[in-house]
Amino acid sequence: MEANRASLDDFDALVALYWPGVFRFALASLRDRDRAATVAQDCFLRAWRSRERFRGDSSVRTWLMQIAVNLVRDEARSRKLQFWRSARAASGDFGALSATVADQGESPEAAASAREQLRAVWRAVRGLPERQRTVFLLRFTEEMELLEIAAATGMAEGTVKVHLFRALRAVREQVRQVSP
Amino acid sequence: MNEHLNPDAIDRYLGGERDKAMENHLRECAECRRAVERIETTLEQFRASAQAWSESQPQGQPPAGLAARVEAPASLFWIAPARWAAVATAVLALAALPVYRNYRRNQAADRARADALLLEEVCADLSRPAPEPLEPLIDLVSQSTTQSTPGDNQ
Repeated sequence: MEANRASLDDFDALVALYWPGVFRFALASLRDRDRAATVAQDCFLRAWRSRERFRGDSSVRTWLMQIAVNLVRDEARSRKLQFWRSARAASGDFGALSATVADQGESPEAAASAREQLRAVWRAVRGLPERQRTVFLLRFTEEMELLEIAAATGMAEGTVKVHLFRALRAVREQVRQVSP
Repeated sequence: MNEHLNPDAIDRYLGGERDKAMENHLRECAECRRAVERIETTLEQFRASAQAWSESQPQGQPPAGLAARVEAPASLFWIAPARWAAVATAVLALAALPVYRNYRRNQAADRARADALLLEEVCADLSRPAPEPLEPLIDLVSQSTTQSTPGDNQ
């Protein structure tokens, strides 16, 4: 926690340490690189300007994620149409990416199946309600603990679990459909 | 062996809510272990794909000018263009307000003048013995009356 606090005295260090996670979360949520970058910038500027109010109850990372979650939610709500438009537009990126990620020296059939499953996860995530998607992404892209997710989203831990389990069920169902 | 893990139990396990009974079962049951490992592998690939996607973007690295923005937090130059547009619109609206009021005042005065003119015309019409189009008839009648009067006298 002390190391975390120290990073609040150095803006460059704060950004260097946490930018990738904040940008990644915003990108996976919004599926638009420019808007994700705007959210990440706003997140760090807001955090820096209100750093005096940071009490240290959570880690700096959780605090930044809390700001990012709010910004992503505002951004998604204010531009719902563009959100879905860019979600469709971004689907092309996943084709190339899933090919890279899923191809790990397996047989062509196994690699194709892995790619299909990966696409199914992204499809499922896209279709999740906002809170389920947020919780799912914080858990499975940022590897945050349930209590950290509760702190970042302002939900009770029990609520986080409910959203996470529902999201997992939806994701498993999509995966099961492409790979029974 | 215990019963297989049901889907809810697998979701709880994947979500991090694990207990001894689940872990013991997964050690003993190859079928459940395969089911969990399969979805865990997919979720791990999902995490890796999100990371790869993010890192492949130019915006995956912080922008160069970000630190400069926090050094001048109060600077007006960092107000977003949309906010500038909103401020400019508000200023224009305030500047236009007196002009608009003056225009409305002039409009009201013009309307009052037009109303007064109309009223005058109406009064003039009312003071006529007959409507304007019938006035030639009135003239005819008065002429014939004038002409016949001497005859009557005859």
